[in-house]
Amino acid sequence: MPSQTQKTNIANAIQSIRNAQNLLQPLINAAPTVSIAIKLTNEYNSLDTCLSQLLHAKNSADDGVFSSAAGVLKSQAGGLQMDEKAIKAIISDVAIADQVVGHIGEAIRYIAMC
Amino acid sequence: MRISVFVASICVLSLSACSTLARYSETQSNAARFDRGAHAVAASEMAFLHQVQNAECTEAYYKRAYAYATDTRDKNFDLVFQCHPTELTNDQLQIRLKLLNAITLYADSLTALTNGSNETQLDSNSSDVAKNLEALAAKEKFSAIGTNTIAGVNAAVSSIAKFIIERREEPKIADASARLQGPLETIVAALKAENIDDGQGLKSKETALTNDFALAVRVAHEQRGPASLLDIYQAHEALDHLIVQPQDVGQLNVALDALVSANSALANPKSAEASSTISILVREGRAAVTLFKASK
Repeated sequence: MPSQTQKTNIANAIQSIRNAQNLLQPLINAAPTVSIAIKLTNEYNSLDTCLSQLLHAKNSADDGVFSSAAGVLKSQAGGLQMDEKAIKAIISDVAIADQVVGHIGEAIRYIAMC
Repeated sequence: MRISVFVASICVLSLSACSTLARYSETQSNAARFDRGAHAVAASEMAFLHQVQNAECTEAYYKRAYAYATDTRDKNFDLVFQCHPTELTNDQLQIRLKLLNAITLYADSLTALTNGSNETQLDSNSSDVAKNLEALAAKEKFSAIGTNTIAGVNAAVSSIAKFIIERREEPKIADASARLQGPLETIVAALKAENIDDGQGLKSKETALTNDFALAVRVAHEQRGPASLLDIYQAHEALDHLIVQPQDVGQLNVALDALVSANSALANPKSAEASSTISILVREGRAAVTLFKASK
């Protein structure tokens, strides 16, 4: 089962993911083309999948389940790094893109400490 | 003279008896209302946890549907989808149900104390459940619930379970509630923290689902022009049916706070606010039940 420090890291990662999603949402609504809207929605959904896994890990009461969930999260940190690159390529506003990537970077660091 | 002294004594004794009865009746009433409030809070919390599972399953289905709809290379879509929640698994849900059982059994036990209940069947059932809770706490099965600032959920459950089993050894309701205020606060704080995180998950899912449908409406508008009004109607109907409203978490946590305050009021029954504090629990519990019954 997760230690108190691991639980805090998971809670912080959840908040970072939500911060990134909250920045993505208005960009999806204002996307100039369907193609960009699809790409941004895919990124949002990818973050949502990560959020689900964080919640699963947090709720684990069993050592085996937690270490397995934490392992999956860490292995997917690479996927989040890919998301960072994709978001930079999709979002034309560099300042907002940096903020979104910043929050994802935070989440990756918290996940690494789980 | 003797007769007047006798009559006066009878009056004093009667008044004293009335006052004692009134106090006893008030204690009974407070315990009964606390019990009712605790059951309402537990029922709402359980409904919320089921919503967390339902939201995950709904979103998992439509996430697959969205992936299929936006990727023309994908030729197959399985309409029948067996959902196995991973965010809050059935086993994890059971652990939380047992935690809520600890709260309601505690409230039931307080009521039984004030009623002088001698229902051996009830005692035996609650004792069995409490022993099961104790065993789970000993195995630290409740450790996953809570965050950094909240420790000792297992110890809190164990204290409450011990009280349920041995409640006849602590016959004064005020003493029992005072001793278990700390454990109750620990459990409630853990549940509240978890509700906030689960609420974040619900919010994320609500937006993800809305985004998927909004995209479909956008494409329909580009392709069908004014006829896309019908697609908008369908999307609106579907979202109204599918989305779990995450704002309910706030009311749930207010009701949980009211539970802790009401327990504190039971520990201090002579305070002026005791009765009104317990009334707040009943009111907030009822509000939470109404919200969760009304929501999906």
